Amino acid sequence: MISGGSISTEVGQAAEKVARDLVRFKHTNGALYVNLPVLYPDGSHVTVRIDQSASGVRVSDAGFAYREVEDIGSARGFRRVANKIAEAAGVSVGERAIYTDGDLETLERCIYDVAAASWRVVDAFWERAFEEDELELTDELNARLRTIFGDKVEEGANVLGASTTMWTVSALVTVDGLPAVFQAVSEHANSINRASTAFRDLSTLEHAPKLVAFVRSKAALGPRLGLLAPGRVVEEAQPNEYFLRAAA
Amino acid sequence: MAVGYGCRMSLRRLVETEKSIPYRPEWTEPDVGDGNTRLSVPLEIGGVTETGLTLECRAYEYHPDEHVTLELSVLGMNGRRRIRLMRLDWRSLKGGHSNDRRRCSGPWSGKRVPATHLHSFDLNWVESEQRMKKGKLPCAEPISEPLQSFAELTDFAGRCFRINNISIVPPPDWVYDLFRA
Repeated sequence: MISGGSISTEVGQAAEKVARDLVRFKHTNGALYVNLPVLYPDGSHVTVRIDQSASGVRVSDAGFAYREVEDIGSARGFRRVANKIAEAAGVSVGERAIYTDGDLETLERCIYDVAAASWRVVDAFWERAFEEDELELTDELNARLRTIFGDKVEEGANVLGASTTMWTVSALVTVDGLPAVFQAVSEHANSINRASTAFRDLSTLEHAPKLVAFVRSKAALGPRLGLLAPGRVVEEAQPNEYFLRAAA
Repeated sequence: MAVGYGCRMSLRRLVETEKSIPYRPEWTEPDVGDGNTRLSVPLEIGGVTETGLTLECRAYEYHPDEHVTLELSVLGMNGRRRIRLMRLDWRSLKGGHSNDRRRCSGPWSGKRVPATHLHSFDLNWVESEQRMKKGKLPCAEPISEPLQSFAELTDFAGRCFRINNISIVPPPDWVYDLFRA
């Protein structure tokens, strides 16, 4: 409960100490760096670099956003996304850095603008890379299946469909000689479509395997769950018995 | 059991097993713009090179003796995504690292760790699901050793990552400019 009106000395001192430490400054190797109280998704601080230029100052993110994006394997799309965000923020995108030029009067605003654009660029890529990543979901599914089925799990198995198309599925689990295909399905249309097509192809085999889609959240997929027919669907939060039942 | 691509070895075992670097690696030419330079080398286990298991180092041409990262990672079973196992950040210019309050446990949960810190395997491992935590090793802890030089840094990383000949990693081609403050 929040009690208004009085703040203890202890809380006041702690808040002041934290506030003073929110922004850090470093002068090193000919450049000035300011660490801001905003975090990139990986937990490092959004940081800007200040260089002196002929007409004033240049504030840049020193390429940190680019390196963050590169780190999650998305560097190729950096310029396209960064240009869009930079234009809206009134800053520029160089070879790798997001930057703007200003003078001492506008230095503070330059820092805000570059930092915000840098963070937004990384956040845009991060969402895509980690929040709805089918590969990530696949890893989680396989980890879960290994705890339930042990060595009966074949990860990334190839299964031949009725159309003679070879499908690489997230996992193939064989219990008592009966196969069950588990496929991780994210909310992306491509992921749903691929699973839907594979399931239909595999379901028309003479000895069709059980077909199970693994999703983060059934509610988030909503009516699109029907596209995964004739497969069964389990979600991340469900206990192991549901996975056993789905594979049976 | 979570395994790395090709290695058929659990992630924990990959971390804990003694490893070596098969040849003297070299740093890349610094990138235009930010001077970023990298070094990536596959690691050997028991005399066999595991190409999916790598040590990657990053540094900046004009930032001698600071802002260096060493990371141990392995290709996942799908052969496409790299699973990060451990990372050591030395004198990072990005203000240290802030640990998530929910995802990171232990005494450094919800706290900021200094510019030199270790994203250790144990802090980022989900034992019940036998997998790494989502993201780029989201949890870090400070280290007690002072690490005053690149040699001390690599020596420490060698002990953390269990790489027995890490001293063959040369320092980056840093530019020491006496006119820069």
